[in-house]
Amino acid sequence: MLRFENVQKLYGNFLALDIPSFTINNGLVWLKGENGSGKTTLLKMIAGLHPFKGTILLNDNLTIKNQRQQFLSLVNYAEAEPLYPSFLTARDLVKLYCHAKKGDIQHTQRLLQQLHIYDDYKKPLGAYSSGMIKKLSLALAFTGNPQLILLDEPLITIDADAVNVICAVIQQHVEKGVSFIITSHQAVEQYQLPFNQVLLVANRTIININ
Amino acid sequence: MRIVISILQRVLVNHFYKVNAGFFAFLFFLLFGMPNSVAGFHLALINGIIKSNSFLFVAFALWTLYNLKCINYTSKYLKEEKQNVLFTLNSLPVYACWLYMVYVQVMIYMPVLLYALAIVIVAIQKHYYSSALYVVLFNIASLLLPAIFYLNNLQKKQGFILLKGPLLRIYLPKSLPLIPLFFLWHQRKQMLLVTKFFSFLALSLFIKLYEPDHYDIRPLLLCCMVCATAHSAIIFEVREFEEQYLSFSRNLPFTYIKRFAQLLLMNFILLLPELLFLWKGYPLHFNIPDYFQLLLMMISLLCLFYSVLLTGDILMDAYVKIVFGILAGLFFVVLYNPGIFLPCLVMIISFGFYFSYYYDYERQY
Repeated sequence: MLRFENVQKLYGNFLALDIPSFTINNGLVWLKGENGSGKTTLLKMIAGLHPFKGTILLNDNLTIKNQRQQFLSLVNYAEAEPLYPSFLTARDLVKLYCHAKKGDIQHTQRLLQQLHIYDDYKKPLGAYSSGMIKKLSLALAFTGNPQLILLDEPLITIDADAVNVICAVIQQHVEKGVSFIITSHQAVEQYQLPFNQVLLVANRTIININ
Repeated sequence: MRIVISILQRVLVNHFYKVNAGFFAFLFFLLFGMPNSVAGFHLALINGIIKSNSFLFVAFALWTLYNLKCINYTSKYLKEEKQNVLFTLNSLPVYACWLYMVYVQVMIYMPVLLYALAIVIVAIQKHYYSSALYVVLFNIASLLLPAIFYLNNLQKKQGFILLKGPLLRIYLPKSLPLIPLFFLWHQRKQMLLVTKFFSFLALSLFIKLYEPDHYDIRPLLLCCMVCATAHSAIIFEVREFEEQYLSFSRNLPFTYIKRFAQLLLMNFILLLPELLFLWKGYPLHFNIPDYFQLLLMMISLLCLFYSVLLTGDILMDAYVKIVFGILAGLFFVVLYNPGIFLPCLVMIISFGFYFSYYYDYERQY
């Protein structure tokens, strides 16, 4: 699904990640690693938020540098600690994402209902708690028709009911053929998220620890 | 006592100047950026203030505007959860707390105080004692009264946040190019007002006072370029905002062309008041084909300022130098009357920078 070729991420002169060659398969992937190991950096590189050297190939034919629009239509991302302008509403963001990702607004609204934040759909995000913002960012990650969804620490900040909803939605999407790369410091129960590949980011690279 | 002042200085005062760095850089450019005698200009301004009640009233109005900015910032900032540590000050006597808040107000109101001091000195030297007294009384009130607002917030009483939005809330859809404009409206109101005030002043003075012997678009073009350049601090703030709050938008599948078109639309809407106001100068100052040259020049200049900020981590002081460098270079080129080719060239350069750096930009600090 995702192939890395001579990928390097530098912050100034500091080499943060060096992945000469690596492949991540389809399915539900757990990305592990210590704080500061480069998990978020890796996800942001795949999501097109961070520049890098080398090539990341999706389906062996799409690269973010050469086919950015098609690539980003297929890759969604939810940050660990999302930040949105306080004067925007959930409605603004849902409309923006659904327009950009060609998604169904009602589908996202239903997910917001499941997560119990739809009542505040028209309120400015400045009135949201951090958990509500996190739920919104997770709902936005499911908009459109993604082939790969990147979730950075999706299970922190949100309440136990929301964790169950998110795990169920992830499983539904996996059954439809959507792949996930998920970072989580928390131990995840196998029945909640049956990962089929476990990766470790350490020593500035990524390894398979299945 | 020292530790309280030190904490207030770092938490409230320093932060105020940090978040308003763009505003102050613009104000500095406005007040001290003229090429001729700066001292002469300010002396004339001060003379006007102490001799004319109308001038004095305008000065009070502008100071009040700045004071509202101070009050709004401090009141809102004190209400943030991360400032809860400051509520320990409530264990001190109320009078002491109020004095600490007066200290905060003195420090953030300092730019006005320094200018007011210069006015009072000149007024006393020239025996305009009543003007000096008005300025002193106005500024004492401007220091002492806001401290009561801050104290109120510190005590977590039902607050009064000033400059709240209108009571009647109308939903306006916020597409991506409009979000930075909403940001300016919600969070950089004073900066926007000061910029527009300067911009309209420059345009209206030009249109009223300049009487050309023969038709020449260049003087008005230069005036429009100055007006567009006055928006450079706003563009800086927009970039800061985008990096902090709209970084997610890089994950949205828009083409370069669409993204650049969104930038054009944003700049067009930002400059729309000036572009409409320009028609007051028709047909004396420009004809219809040249209007498009003015329009394109102003928009492309803002696009260039924006694109320059994508080329690296450019801080405000370096940015101001670049902006003035660009303006000076373009002034020189305009003298050769390049017509519509110049704004087109500026637009092409902007797009070149945008195309090369948009996705490669990454904040390093």
